[in-house]
Amino acid sequence: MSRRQRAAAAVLALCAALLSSCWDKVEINDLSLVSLAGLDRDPESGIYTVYLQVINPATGASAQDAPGGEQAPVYTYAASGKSLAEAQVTFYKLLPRRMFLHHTKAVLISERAAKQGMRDFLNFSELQPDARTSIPLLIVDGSIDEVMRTFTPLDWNPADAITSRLNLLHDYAMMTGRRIELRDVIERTEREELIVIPLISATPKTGDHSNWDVKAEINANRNQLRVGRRAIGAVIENYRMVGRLYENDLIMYHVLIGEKGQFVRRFPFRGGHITVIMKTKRMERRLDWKAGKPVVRLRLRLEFSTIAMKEYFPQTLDELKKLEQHLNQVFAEELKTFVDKTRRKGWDLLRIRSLLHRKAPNLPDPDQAASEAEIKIEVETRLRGMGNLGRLYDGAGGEP
Amino acid sequence: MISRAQFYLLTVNFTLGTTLFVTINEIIQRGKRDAWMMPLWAGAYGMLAALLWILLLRSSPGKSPVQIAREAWGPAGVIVGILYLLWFCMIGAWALRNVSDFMNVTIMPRTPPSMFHVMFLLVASYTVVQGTETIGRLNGIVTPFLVFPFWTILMLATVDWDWERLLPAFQNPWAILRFPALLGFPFMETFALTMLYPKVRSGAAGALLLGLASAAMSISLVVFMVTGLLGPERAGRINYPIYTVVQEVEFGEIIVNIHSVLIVILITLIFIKLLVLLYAAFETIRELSRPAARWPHLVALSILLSAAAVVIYENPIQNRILSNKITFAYDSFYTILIPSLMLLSLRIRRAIQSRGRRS
Repeated sequence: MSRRQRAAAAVLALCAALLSSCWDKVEINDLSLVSLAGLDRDPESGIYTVYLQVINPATGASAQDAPGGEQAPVYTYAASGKSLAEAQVTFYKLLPRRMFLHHTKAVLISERAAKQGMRDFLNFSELQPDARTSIPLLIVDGSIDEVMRTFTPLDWNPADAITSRLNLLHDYAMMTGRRIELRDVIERTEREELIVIPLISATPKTGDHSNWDVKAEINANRNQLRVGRRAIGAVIENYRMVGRLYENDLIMYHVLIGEKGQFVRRFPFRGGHITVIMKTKRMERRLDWKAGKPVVRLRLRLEFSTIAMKEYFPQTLDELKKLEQHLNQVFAEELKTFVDKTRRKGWDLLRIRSLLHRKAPNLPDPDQAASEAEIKIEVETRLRGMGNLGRLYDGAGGEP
Repeated sequence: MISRAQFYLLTVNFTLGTTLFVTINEIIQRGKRDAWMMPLWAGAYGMLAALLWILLLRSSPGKSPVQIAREAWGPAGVIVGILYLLWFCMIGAWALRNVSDFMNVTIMPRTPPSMFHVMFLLVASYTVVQGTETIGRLNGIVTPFLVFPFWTILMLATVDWDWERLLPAFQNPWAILRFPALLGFPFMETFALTMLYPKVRSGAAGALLLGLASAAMSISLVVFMVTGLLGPERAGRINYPIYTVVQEVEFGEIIVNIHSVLIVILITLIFIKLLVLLYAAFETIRELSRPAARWPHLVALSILLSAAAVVIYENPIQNRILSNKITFAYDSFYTILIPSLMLLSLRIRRAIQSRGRRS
């Protein structure tokens, strides 16, 4: 080995001293994995209360039979402070592990905080490098303290229970939308649009609900969380909650903004009713001008199936055409009534203003034009799917 | 070349194809307790029609109806060939749509229908490219796996059997007259098999007739069992009575929910029907234009069929009208009128030729 090679080897060996290895490693056992976050602000004192639900690692799938399996799957911590950052560091008075926010699945905000305005909170969460804003934001109808300290049966982790319900409600009922995340609230509000996000509440309690004892209760309608109480959606304008939408209105809202999904609806029909499962297929918006005023045409295409139609079943093409025309007309009228009702409240739920902004950017007064715009709704329904009956049983003894 | 037995099995499976779950409820709705007799009459009619086709095919041995049309009518025969091509595509698209409807209603409600269409076509195209022998052999191999599980499942279901559901019997033996559509679908549709006829080594005529007879007997037996198991009132209203029968099988506490086995059988049967139709359409193209390549035509056919399957009918009511009111006239045109005319003109032409030779 030449001298030169020896020197090179020595330099290399010395370099090894610079290798840092895993000196700043964080073991998973040193982290507190937050699954659900909650936020409240007292309007009088201005004090923030932050709630964190931390997953208890001893109850995971791997620890099923380990000692201590009968523990709470999550623990709720709460901390207060004059500002969010202060509250956040105050957690370490209680929390023995480092806070880890990356896996947070949903954020809840109390109604009173949402009515004051959520801008500061949204700014704070966008500022945090370790917090995602692509998670659903829900507003708590009732006490947030109670909601944060309530277990959910079946899916024992409340955050999982909430997010999976939001998905199911979207797919099968169209009672929640896809755009309900923190980032959507930010984006929509910055564009001066309205957004509707879901409400969540705690159901009536029996006994000590924050205790694991609720596991023994058969009545799953008690001691748990539910999406919405009577209203399911909260209307957010300018980072503030300004109103509520109830079940049927919420479905119509999601149909009108072109969400994809299916829903069940009962329409008046021949002096009685008919229940129909509908699937949204296409939504088109067209902007025309009539005498200097904008006319927005909404064309909706929906498909329905006979699965829920226990009241009536068309047998001929003629009967089917009549049913389809009837549904087109009735649903279009219902949608129009809903739109008019919300516009009277000053809510531009269909985002007409943005449509005008996009299609006619040079309007002198877009607000005025948006409020004057005429909205025409056309509905086209088609029978597509079917249930397992070709004809209904027709003995007497049905609903009167 | 395929053997007589393979052709026989193809005929049976083709005829059973979509029939077993599309028309059973309609048959029982029309025929009530005596519905099981209807497939027998329809099968007898199908055999008569088959005799006509055999007569036609025997007049020019080794030729398919499309080639015979050219022989009989020269260039005008090409038009007949194109008509047959469209007819095969129409039935194929219909079979595809039936399968996607069935799957959507029963076990896979969220799968887009086109997914079923495209997947079926993909596999069917591959098989068709391999040639007649592959089709015959494939069908021969799968048949035992269809027959035994199917009848075993139906036998398991007989724990619910009640003879009262079939009584009083023989009240209405001519119910078939109220439902002539059954003559068209499935029996006249078997005309598609005549495209395979020239490829059978020997004894194709007997295999075709026997196949039709066996299929008619099977359908009749299925209708009989479904009526005995569900009763004519329920079976006539439920869209897929066989599926319901099997769904309700409860044998002890272990054998429950065995309907997935039935679904596999049904989709395989429909696949065979589609396979024969795709082969017939493909063969028609080949005989009309004698192309060198095979794949481009199959790709085109697949695109056509998958699109046609989506638009062939819009809703179940249109489907019912299509199958109950239109198919009989439509199929008669293709399978009775055109073959008769071809046979007639062939006879006349040959008579004139022989007279010319004699003089």
